[in-house]
Amino acid sequence: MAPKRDRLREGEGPNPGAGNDLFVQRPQVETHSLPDLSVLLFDQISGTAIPVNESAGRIWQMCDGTNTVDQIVDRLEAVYEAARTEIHRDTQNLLAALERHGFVERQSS
Amino acid sequence: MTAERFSVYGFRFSIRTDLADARDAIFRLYRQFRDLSATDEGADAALECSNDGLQWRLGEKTAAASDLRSALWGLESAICEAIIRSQQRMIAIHAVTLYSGSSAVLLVGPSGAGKSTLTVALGRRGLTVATDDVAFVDPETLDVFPIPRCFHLDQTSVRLLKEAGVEFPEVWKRLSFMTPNDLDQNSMPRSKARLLIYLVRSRSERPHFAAVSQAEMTARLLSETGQGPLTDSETVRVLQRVAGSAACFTLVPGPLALTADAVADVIARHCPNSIAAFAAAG
Repeated sequence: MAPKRDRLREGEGPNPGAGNDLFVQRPQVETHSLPDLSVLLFDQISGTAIPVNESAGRIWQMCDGTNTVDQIVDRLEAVYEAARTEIHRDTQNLLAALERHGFVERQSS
Repeated sequence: MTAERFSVYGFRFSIRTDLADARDAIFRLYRQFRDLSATDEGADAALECSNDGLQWRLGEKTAAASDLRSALWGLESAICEAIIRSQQRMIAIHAVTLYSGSSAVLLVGPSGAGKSTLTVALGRRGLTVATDDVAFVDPETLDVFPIPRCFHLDQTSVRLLKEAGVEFPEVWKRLSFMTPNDLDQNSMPRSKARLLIYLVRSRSERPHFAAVSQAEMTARLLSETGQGPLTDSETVRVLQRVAGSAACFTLVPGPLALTADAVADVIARHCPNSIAAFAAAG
């Protein structure tokens, strides 16, 4: 078999940003939506694949440079029955992991 | 010394050997792939006695071996690599391929996770084993095309299988070279994978299945897929469709017999036209 590809996963150690930070998807990252609503993010340059669940997929879709972290949390709060603090924490953790892997770029507004 | 000719998914080769056991082993491994055409195209392979023991050759590649088992393992490994390298269209996934009725099941996992051992145990439970190592997937139809390999079982695997009640065929006792065709096999229909199981390396007291997302399975398939004829993006799109049309699980194995029973049960529940009651046949 040919050498296997590296596959990195989300790690620990969030790097929380301010609520008004903006995140933008890096153009080399492909979004693959699956029938069970999970989403695979694939970086064409590094070959890194990160699978995420439906809610994380929603966050990813909102990383378009127009939604602040607070606005992302607002929208998720309207959809999911979870405490705002929990949604905020999960959102920050995901964005920090995506930023660490180079899948998104942070823009302080 | 006559040559047997084979064509495995477009890779043509002929094998010459004057060793009856070697000829028989190779024929059992590639039985479904005999090339009856008149063409002389393809790679030449040979396995023969030398002054130092045995020597095998495939094209320009050659190696010596101290015994027939090592020579056969070396030659069939080289042939498998050549089959994969020659492929211009399909992608190769490091996975066991099983068939239950008309359905294909892929058992994926890192080397050393116990795929081969579990596969032999499943073959003794009525499932058709096509390969314990690698399969092509057609990027258009997603049909699975298993590449035949001999089982690479170490002493621990053999002991576990015997403790689980698996009886080895005579050829294993004599040569330690067993192919999927040495197990009781049914037909291998052209089929997509309906069930994907990722076998983890860790062990538990009892086998434990957990459903995983199709995105997670796509990533796991990607980690078991080598560089092939497609770009990375094209490969991911194919794997996404493979996982997206299958039920996906991870399996933490337990004791072998219990694990094989559990896998057979999951296959029976997720694959239509399964062979009835094979879970209890072991």
